[in-house]
Amino acid sequence: MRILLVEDYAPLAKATAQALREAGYVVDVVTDGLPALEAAIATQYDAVVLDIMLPGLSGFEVLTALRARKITVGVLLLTARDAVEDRVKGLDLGADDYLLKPFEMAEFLARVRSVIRRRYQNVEGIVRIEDLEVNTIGRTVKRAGVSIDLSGREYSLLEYLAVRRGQIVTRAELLEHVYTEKPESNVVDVFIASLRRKIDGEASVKLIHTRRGQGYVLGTAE
Amino acid sequence: MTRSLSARLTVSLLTVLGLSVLAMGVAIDLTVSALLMRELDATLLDDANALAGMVEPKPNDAWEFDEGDNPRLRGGLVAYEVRLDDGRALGRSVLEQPLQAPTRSVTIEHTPRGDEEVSAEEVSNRKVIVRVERSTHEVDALLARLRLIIALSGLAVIALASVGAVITVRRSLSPLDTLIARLHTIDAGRLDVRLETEQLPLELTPLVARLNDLLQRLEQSFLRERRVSGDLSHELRTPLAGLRALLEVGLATPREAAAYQETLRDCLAVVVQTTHIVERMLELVHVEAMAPLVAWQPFELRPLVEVSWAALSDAASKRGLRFENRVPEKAAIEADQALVMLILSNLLSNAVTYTEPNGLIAVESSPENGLLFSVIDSGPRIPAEAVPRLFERLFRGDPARTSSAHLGLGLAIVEAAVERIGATVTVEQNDMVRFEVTRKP
Repeated sequence: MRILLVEDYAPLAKATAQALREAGYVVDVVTDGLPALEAAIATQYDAVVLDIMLPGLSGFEVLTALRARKITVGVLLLTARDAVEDRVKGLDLGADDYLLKPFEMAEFLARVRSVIRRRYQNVEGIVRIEDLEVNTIGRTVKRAGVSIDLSGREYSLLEYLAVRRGQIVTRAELLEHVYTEKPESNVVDVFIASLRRKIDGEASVKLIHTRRGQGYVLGTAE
Repeated sequence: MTRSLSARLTVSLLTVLGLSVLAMGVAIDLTVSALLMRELDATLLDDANALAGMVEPKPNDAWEFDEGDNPRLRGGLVAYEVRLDDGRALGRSVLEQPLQAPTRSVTIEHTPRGDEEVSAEEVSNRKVIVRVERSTHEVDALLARLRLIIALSGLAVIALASVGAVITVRRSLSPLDTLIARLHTIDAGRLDVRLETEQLPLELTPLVARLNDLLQRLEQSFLRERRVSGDLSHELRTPLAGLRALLEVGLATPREAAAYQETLRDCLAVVVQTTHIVERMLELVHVEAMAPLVAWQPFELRPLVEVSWAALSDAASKRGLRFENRVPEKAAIEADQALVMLILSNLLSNAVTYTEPNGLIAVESSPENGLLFSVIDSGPRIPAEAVPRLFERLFRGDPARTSSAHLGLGLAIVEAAVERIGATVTVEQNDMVRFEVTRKP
């Protein structure tokens, strides 16, 4: 999952970015309003964490511009002002959630997860495909009730395929949502192969499918 | 007396009306009863004269009286007595029952005229005395009925007028009710309400205009307070959030020593910055509270400007800024030296931050014209919309604040300090941006 973090106060941006990365997200950090808007338009983020008081465009303006362009990415607003009007205004402009500084990191991460779940209409936080169970809160995976041990990268790939179950996910999309830097071109294929081994290995029903020239689909073959 | 305006108005109206009706009733009663009495007296006088005419002198001081067939004397309504002035009775009425009290009487003295039998000289020394008496019963009954009619119609008028008065008073005061209902909608959260003056009676217009004026000033100061507290919370919460996030992330998993060192360095930087913020705020609070401690003394301004600038000259030369101390030699003012230095260094530091690179900064003074001093820079101009809020606490042109060194407290401190030395600070912008500190000489 790729997250855009827009925060102009450097110490806070640094710490939250690190916390998000350690939670398995790919994070882009932007400190100004205008570059934030450009980034959110250019890249399909899974969530945007948006500070309200920003240089250039304010968080409210960035949010308004995003929604005006029909970009429905989940937005978590951060603010240090406790006025109720600010909260109401943010939510009315189309923010999905709101967090007042200073916050507890665990709560922040929970809210980011919840914004992403809502984006993929996955309210309970568990994606079930046949007997495969991907728990996006605990970051655990089970197949037929048996826990499967995945590396962080493997889990991230599987989670993104899971929330987009049944849809073709291109290699480029996987790279965008799962990798910070541009990796070797075949790295996705390598991780998919190892995922296949762990998820589909001995099962009779295969869940990870390759669409030649297009990408991958997680789900039962139609 | 009741404090309700409508009750007061109604009561006063009805009192005036009641007294008028009463006075009118009394006037009518007095007039009519006087008229009736005069009429009664006239009738009595007629009767008496008629009776006197019935007295006939005879020769040798003999007198005759015949009641005749005067219809008015029959029926027992009139009692009379006719006698001569020497006491001889000539006749009196015979009544079946005595006259009903109260009564009214008239007595006349009549000098009979002579005739062919008795000469005028013979009767001239005699007088006939006639007394006629009549009950006022009929007149009294009439008057009583009149009084009843006056009283009843008076009461009816007052009753009608009461209803009318209540309705009229209520209707005339209804704009007040509307006004009060409108006022009820106002609280600290809804100070944007203004009261309409167009539909109001003229008497209420100035009151409502004053109220609107007051509301506007209240709203402005509330907005200002809210902004300041919002900015303050932003200013303190943001570094706290940073500190907390750094510490939580640092503690989340066991790390290398270098990672801990980095976290500690970041935390220290946040604490240093926050300390600076808190100190500036305390400085402001201190200046605002120090009114009784101002040390008034005359001093020369020029050296003070030099000292204030010295602390900033490094930062200024990095930006290529020129400085001119245009304060005349020996120019002296009377104020608190420490406060003046605080004002100067804040204004100069502000100028060093915002003047465009390679620009000019200068200080001028002309105390004899009321200009204690002014700090001038070559711009850029301050946007017009920012000028009214310049001296507001924590106001900065740029809404994203925390990372910059300027907190937006400098000009608030300047304003507080300027106030302490009995002066005012204003911004003038022509070819230069001028912060002027003036005081009436």
